Amino acid sequence: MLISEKLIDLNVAATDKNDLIKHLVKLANDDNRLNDSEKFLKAVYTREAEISTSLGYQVAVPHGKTNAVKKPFICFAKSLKGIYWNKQLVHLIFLIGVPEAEKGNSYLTILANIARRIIDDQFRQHLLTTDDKKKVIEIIDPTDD
Amino acid sequence: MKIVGITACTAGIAHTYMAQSALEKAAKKLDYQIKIETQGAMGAENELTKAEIDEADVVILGVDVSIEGEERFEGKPVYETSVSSCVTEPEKVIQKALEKIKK
Repeated sequence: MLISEKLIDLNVAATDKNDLIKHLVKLANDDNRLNDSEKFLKAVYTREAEISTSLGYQVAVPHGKTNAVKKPFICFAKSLKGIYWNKQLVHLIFLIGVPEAEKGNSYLTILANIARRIIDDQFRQHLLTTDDKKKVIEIIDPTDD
Repeated sequence: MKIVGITACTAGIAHTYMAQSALEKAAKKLDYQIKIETQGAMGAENELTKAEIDEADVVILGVDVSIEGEERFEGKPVYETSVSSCVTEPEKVIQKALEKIKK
């Protein structure tokens, strides 16, 4: 399972992008998804510094592909007030972690499908209006049981 | 109007597919046919056939990394841009690509 209730925060307190990433990395670490949370955090920051992962749609998709990831995961956070991310106001945040150099894994297909659906207005609208973590899991990854 | 293209980002896990989806959505809105091959962490998917490339009026490359099989587009009008612009302003990317045809 890529996502779990422990990886979801529907009302984040963080008001700053870096604090938010830190918070989500902690959620991932607490859910036993990481080998090395410091290393993963660094990988995410480095990736973020290359090109911001907020590309409109009120969404940011910070991610890290590194061996610091034990089990692939997706964290989801919602900021009701919004967080400024590269000068754009972001409400929905997906933090993705995948291990280095793994090809042909089914979870990559699931992640690709989630990424595609972010462009879909209805997908985002559903996430914006839901307060139920179980529903969030259903919306983000309908293949999960 | 027929468009083909490739999207490919650094990690190949998110933006490649967001860009594909954004371009497809914009093309649908503008009533153009489009097919986008993704070169991400899973390798090439939704691969373009030779016939599709031959029939295409223009090629869009939304790429931040070097891609496989760029020689397939030799002799065709190619508009190259970043993955991020395909995600943030897909309609503009398509319009700019179309300008390549007129030249």
